[in-house]
Amino acid sequence: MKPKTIVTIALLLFVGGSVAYLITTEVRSGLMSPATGSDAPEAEKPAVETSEPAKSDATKVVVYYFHGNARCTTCRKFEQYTLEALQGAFAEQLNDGSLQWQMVNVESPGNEHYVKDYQLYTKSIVLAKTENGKPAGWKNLKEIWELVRRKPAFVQYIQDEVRNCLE
Amino acid sequence: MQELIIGVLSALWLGILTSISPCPLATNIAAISFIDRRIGSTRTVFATGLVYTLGRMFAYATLGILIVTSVLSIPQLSHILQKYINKILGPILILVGMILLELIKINISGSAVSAKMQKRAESLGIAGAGLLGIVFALSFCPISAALFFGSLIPLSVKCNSSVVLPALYGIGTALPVLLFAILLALGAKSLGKAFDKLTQIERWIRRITGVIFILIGIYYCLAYVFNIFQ
Repeated sequence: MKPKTIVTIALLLFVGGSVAYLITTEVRSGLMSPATGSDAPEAEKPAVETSEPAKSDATKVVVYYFHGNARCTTCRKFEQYTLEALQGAFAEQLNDGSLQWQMVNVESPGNEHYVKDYQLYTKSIVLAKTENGKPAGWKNLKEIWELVRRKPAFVQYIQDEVRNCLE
Repeated sequence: MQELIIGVLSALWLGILTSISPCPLATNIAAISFIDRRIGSTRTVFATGLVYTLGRMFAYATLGILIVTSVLSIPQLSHILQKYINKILGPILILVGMILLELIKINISGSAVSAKMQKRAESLGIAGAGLLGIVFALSFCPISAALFFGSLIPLSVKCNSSVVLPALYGIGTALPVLLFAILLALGAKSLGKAFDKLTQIERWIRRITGVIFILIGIYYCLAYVFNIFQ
């Protein structure tokens, strides 16, 4: 067999395999999503990575980092810088649960509602406040895209916004 | 009036920012190589670049109309485009690369290629650049989504311009690609003429374009279909 033919077959197989994998994963995630509503069993609830659980009744702020399956370099910086900002200035609040850190993959089955809830159009850091267990507003920190190339300014921005939200 | 001028310049600048940001770099390299594969004719390079720009303008203006007239919601549209277009882009790029490398042959003219048929094939190439412009424009990544949905659309709403500002943004996204492609074509053309090897250089550029498309296509498949860079 000629090398050209081998390359052609290999590439066509790769394309075919990619399309088949894409269709299979989409069909599977479509079948899985109905089971992951609020009534779903604990084991099937959508996965989010969280810090310490919060105390229920006082004011609580959740710092969400929303991402998708594909993680770009800039998106990883959001995660790293935000965590550094929180751990650097709010270690006490993170320990007592009044401040919580949650990473959410919006492409995981069951997490799609976050897109609508927080009007997400790209990777985002969102502060969500609850008072006595009830939602008390949220803010999408849109300036992260402008500040990501200046780490000190990014960290300061996150800390200022979290401080305002906790007050 | 002043607000509109600021809006126009901002839209263009946001487009340029999008085109030079690291994330859309892969598709921009593919676009440059696609536009440049016919370096023998500066006119063809320019026409291909122009049609590619028109494709991008059309895609962004259509999105602008659909969003500003509230037919589609920004979060859902952005989510769908980022999730699906990038996934199908990989296989498409590989197939286009295979066509450019003649691994897959599209038989347009049978055995004897007449001048008319050659012209038709060329115009198909130019139309292909338009399609490429539309697909590349719709393949949003995090930073282009932030700039388009987070900055340009609010600006369009503020200036009450659902078509013009998104279209200008489209020009901005294609402008560096277009300029770079023309400069490369002019450079390669004079080099080819100097050594009297223009046809040979064209053949090699076409092959390199095919390889670039396949490599970028494989990257997109691995990143967005198989999620291996998580």
